Amino acid sequence: MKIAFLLAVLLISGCSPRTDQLAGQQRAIDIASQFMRTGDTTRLRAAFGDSVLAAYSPSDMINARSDMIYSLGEFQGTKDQHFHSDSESHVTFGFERGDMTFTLLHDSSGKIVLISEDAEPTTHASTDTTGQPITVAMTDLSGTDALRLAFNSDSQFVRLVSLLSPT
Amino acid sequence: MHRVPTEKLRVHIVWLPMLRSDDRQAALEGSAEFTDDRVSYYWDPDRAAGKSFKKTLGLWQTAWDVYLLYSPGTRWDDFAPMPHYWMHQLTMANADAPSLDVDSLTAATIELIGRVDGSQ
Repeated sequence: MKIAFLLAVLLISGCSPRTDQLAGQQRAIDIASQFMRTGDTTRLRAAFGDSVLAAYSPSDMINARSDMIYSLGEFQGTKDQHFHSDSESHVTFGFERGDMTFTLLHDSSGKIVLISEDAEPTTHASTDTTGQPITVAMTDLSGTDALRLAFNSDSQFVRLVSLLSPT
Repeated sequence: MHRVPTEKLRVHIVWLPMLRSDDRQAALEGSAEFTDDRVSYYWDPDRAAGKSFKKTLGLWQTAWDVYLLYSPGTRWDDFAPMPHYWMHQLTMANADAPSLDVDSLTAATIELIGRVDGSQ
């Protein structure tokens, strides 16, 4: 069943990484997913390379897991994964209230050696419950230039910058 | 904001789409909940600010639910500047700052304003 799944992934992604490396990547993602589900750190060494383990202790990993669950609700499982090459994959973890997608770099055995949160936001259209226009000045950012300019133009003041989720 | 009634403070609130329910409309509604002439609002659909401050703060995830306090004179040149003081609302894996406590953040803000006043 797993081989059939992996072949399907290969066909979808249009890549042809070596099967053993792909199996290694799959194993690492499975262990990471299991960690997200249980919080059990005993198998992390089989999933993550030394560079990750040196940067993030098991307690760091547990805290990161707690952050995600705190923010997004209970972990629901791996929703999606793509193997882009024999060294890179993308995995989406599903939670009660949202998703988190990561780009993972793997070593030759499939272990995860770099984790990067994906740039794509997971947004869904909301419903306007009031139907009334909201008149408040809000700047749409494309990059950080507008924020940087505003920050610098207020340089004579004490400034509080807050980065928040609106819901 | 009402606890720091001074014109010497400016607030920049950047809304990021971090949760499934986050979108521009929600950001507008959030902005309308507390209006103050000293506050500016931004919608950051690509999380660009979150990524910039992620690097500055040394986080391993997009910076959000963070409260960053800056002294006068601090400028943002090539990189988002390191704050004078900051707090966060998540138990981030490697956040080198305390969790948000409104009283403490208010006290730090008032102290910084007072320090600036004292030096002028």
